[in-house]
Amino acid sequence: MRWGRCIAPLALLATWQALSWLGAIPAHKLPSPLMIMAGLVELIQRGLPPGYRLDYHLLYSLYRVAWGFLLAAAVGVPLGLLMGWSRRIRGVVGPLVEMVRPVPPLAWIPLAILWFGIGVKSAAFIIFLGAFFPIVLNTTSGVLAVSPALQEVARTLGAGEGDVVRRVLLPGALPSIFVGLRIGLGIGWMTLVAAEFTGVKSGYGLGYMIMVARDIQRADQVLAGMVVIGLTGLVIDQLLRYLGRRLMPWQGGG
Amino acid sequence: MSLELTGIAKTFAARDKQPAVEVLRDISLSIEPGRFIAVVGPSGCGKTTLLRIIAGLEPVSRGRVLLGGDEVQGSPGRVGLVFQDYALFPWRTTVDNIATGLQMKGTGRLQRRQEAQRYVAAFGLEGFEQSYPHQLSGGMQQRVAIARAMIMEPEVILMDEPFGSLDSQTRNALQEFLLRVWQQRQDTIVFVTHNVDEAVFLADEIIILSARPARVVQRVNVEASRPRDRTSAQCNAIRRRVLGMLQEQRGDTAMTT
Repeated sequence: MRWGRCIAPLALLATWQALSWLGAIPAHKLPSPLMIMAGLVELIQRGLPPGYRLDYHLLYSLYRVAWGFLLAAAVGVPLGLLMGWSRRIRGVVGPLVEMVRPVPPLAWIPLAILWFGIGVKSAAFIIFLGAFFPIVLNTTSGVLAVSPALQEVARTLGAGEGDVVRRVLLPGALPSIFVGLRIGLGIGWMTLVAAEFTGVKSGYGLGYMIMVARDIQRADQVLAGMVVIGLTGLVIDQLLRYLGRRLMPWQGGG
Repeated sequence: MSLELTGIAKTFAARDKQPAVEVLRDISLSIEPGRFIAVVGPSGCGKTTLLRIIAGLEPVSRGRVLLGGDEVQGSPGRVGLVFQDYALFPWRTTVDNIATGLQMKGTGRLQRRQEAQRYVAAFGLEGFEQSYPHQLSGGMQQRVAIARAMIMEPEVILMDEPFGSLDSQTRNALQEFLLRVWQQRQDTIVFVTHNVDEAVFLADEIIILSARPARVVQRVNVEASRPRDRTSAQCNAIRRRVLGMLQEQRGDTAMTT
């Protein structure tokens, strides 16, 4: 069954490769899968620009995303808990969140560069903005979905307000918090590349690497960079899902 | 310690173009310790509101609730709650659900596990100590919920149609189980139900409420000796009396609406 899922992508790759061999797809516009593989190997071995190897590009990008994402989680989860817990806080902070949220994170790039200069800080800031809102909103709605009966039972069992937040609202909202974290990390990772297009002047970063490949007309390496970004995003998401299953053994399953 | 309700009235204030609703009118009750009290009444009459007031979860509009002489509001741990839908914490195992109140009280991990384990054994939950609620049957979940309330040794246990969503076999078994536990422990129980058979089988006394706004219509002592036979002539006679009074109450609403 699991292998069945690979049939469609493999068929697509094979057709693509065949059309490239037949000359139906011009290589300078869309290189064949094998050419992309070769480009990837070159990125790993030689690097782009030469000497700047792929693993370093990847590590730098991960570093920026980690900063932005962890900051977003560290602010977003507690704020979301507070907003779910208190109607008053929700009334004050909610409109603020709703005002800023529709602004695309990338529209902040000029301001980010003005405030933080070009470097990890401005990239992390953009990623923070991308990840923050889904985390806050999912945490809040997760708290609001916790049954009032659970809170009442906890209170009659002697829970104070702190206990209710920590021992009822937090675990009750955890599944929803994890959804928010996964969406947030996904958006953060997507935002990264664009942030690196403009927010990195030289050195490392997958987005920067792709820009260099574009400048020297290496479509194969642009695509190889895209593949690396996609696969890394997938791996990170799987890691978060695994973490979620470990932290929430009561979820799902018979 | 006895439970005293004096002149309880409750009106939910008008809001969002909804008119104010008077739910309870002048309810006074005195419940002796160790008694098993059933509360019945027409549906929607405010039985649940009354329980929530006794639990201190809902403020009264008038009147007082005294538990052993103290105001009940803001005295956690003295009242136990059991809901129809169990309201177990989905993220806690059987043992941890039962021990929740001890944890809030600050009892050490080992001690509360041991204490909870006693209830696991007495409540027939062995082998499911580490199960999560969704892995348990409805009857088992409700036993966990009852254990979670009883482990705190509350002065009153309030049950809101606790067996209402169980099939009739399980319901009968749990009724008998609850009686066994209660006879050993002598808890004070206030048990809301819409099921007259259940009230007659379980309770020392049945309190019949009127249609909204609820007043106490009648208090019926169930004098049948225990263990009771559900189909004995005595039980049938009491059931007929209670059903008759409930029917009158329904008739009242039919005429006023």
